[in-house]
Amino acid sequence: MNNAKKNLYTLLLLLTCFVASPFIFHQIWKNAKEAKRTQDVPPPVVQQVPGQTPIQDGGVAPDANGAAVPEGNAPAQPAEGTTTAPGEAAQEATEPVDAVAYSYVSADVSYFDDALFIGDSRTVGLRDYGKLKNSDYFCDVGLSSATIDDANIGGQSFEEAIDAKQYGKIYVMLGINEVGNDFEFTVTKFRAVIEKLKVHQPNAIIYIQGNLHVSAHAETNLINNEAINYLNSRFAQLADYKKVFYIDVNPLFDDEYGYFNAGYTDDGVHPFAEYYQQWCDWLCTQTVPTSAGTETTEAAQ
Amino acid sequence: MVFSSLEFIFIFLPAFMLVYGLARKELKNAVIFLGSLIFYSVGVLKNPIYILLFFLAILFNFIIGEFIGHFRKSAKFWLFIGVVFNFWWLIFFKYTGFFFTNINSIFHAGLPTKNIILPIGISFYTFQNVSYIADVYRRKTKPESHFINYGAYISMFPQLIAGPIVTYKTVSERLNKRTHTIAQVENGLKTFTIGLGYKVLIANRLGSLWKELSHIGYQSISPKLAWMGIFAYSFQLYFDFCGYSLMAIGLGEIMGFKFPKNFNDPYMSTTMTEFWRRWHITLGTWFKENVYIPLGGNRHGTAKTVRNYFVVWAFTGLWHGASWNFVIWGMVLFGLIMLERFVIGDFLNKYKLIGHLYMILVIPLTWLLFAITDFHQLGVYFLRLVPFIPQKAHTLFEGDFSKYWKIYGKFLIAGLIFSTPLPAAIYRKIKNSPITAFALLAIFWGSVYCIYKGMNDPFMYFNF
Repeated sequence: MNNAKKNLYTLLLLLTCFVASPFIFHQIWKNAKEAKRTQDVPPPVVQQVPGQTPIQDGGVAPDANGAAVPEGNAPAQPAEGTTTAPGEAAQEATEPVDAVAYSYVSADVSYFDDALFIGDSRTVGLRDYGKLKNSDYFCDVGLSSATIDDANIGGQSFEEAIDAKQYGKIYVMLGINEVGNDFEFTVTKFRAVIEKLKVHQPNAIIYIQGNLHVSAHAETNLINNEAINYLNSRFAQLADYKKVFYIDVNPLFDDEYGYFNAGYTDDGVHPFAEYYQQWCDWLCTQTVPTSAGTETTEAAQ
Repeated sequence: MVFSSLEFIFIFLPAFMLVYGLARKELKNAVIFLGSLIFYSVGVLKNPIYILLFFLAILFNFIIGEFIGHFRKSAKFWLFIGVVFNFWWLIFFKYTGFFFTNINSIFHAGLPTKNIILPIGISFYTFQNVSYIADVYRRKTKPESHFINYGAYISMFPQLIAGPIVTYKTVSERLNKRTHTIAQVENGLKTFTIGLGYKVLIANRLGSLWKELSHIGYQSISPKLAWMGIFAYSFQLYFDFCGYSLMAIGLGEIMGFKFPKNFNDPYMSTTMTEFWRRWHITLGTWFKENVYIPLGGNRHGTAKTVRNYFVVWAFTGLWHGASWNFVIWGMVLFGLIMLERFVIGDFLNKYKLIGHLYMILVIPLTWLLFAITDFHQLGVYFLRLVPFIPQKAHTLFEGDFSKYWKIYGKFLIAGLIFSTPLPAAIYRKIKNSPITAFALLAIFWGSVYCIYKGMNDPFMYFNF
């Protein structure tokens, strides 16, 4: 007994380790499998991304369709070269829309005074380092459409946040944290978020923002631009260009190969603080007029 | 395989300890040697040739040790051969890229500068091998006559990757004869747990803050956050390294060894000179015994003393990394230590409070030189620390300090508390009480939980 007391820590440690070992070994096994999936990253290859030309100074650029679809494994790709006017396209919700056809207009910063931004760490950066200080934000590091219903940010749940007041515009950028998950699952979850917004915010224009790309050095088998582009293209299909719009900031930040420009980031995932300002400037150029609602929106060409 | 990983704690360590415990006395060193080679192999899986290199280094130094011990007339020659052999590999792996880059920039040559992957632990095992042959040469120790014993000494996994730099003479006796008791196991596990807590619960958390600053971009951090950042980095470095050393010491104790202390509350120093007697003590000792004293120490007048210090600090800088910022870091330390020796040292030692204030400023600033290898970035960061110097306006987030303080403030406070001798003093008093056992159990499982959750590596679970 005296011996047990003297070596209490060893005893406790051995005992608890023994009890916990099944969980631990399960985790080690999972980690090892994960590591196997993420290793052997293919070397960066030149990606020819149609419709994506890097732009400077936050100018208006062709967007949305820049979300290139990976070959082979992409069901329901957006039809290429569709020139249908948004109004018509929206008749059938599942009908893909060529967002290049939509021409956005510029607005000043006050446009965002009645805006809500929903997103992950990139949106946190936008909140902290951007210039849209009058907007509301529901964002957190690691947020995803799969976890948003369980999220509690600043004491608010997602539903509480979108019930708190009526917004004029809602911006959503989610997906980078779940790009490694099953695509169909993620799209379903993301669609649910958008549907919920439609119900709770009947008067708001909803902007789906395509997920930012990652740099070549940050790509892995799970997180890579091919997957991001595919997910973005699926999200883009949710846009009806009446109430829900799709915008894609990637052309602003991409390098010539379609990677997130390595000079704009340290970790390859998050822009340096100063680029959030450019992002805001760009958002100002990508607005849908609100006064006349969606009626006055016109198709380019 | 780092100590703060599930694989080490729950697979390698228990398996090793089981075999080690069951092995007969005369086989225990062989178990250490073999187990450590396995441990090393896991670390260099991508370059299996490094295992061979490691093994050859052990064999070669063992033979050189024998030669020095038995052929006293040609001992100097064998020592020379041994030193050249050891440093050749270190220089080749660690400094070739750096050397070529400099040649290229001076002569516009096109030498390949592709980074050679550094064999894990080479900086440490090279120094141990050299200290062994040098000690045999100086007759401070007898040459080890059993290869397995020597192999066990160099490869011993607790200290293989990140020190402490254990000298042969401190463990030679126990290599041949040591006792194993349950009390040692209990004590060793406690020390290991404290080190694990330092590493996982303090250092890794503060490391995340330091990483976040570089993600924001140094030009866009507020001065307050910049200061918080370098204090966080200072604590990260200390608890990371000290934690690792404690884990090594704890593991050594379980196996019946007594490794030297590597840190002695360094942040409590009042001068840089004192700091470097209390920080990474085994490295300082190595340089003192193998560079400073052989060069003459302080026995040949002021000029030669200064020269000897200069050499020691130039090499200390380079040992920490093959990049100019480490050289400059070493030179700044040399400058400060000389300043203290000849001008302000007595004053700082007399007025302790001023000494502490001086160190509060000097420690994080010198670590900044250590932390940022890119000179442009270093300049940007430095300017953020001194907002009264006019500088280009950048995107700033006024609330950044309070945002990060809310997340990391508690870890900084913990860092501050555990940098003082107070927690250790309390620990010594209540070491054997059941409360301590339960507290350590909480630290152990808290650390394991953090590792389990992937908080070691925020990328593991995509947390963007």
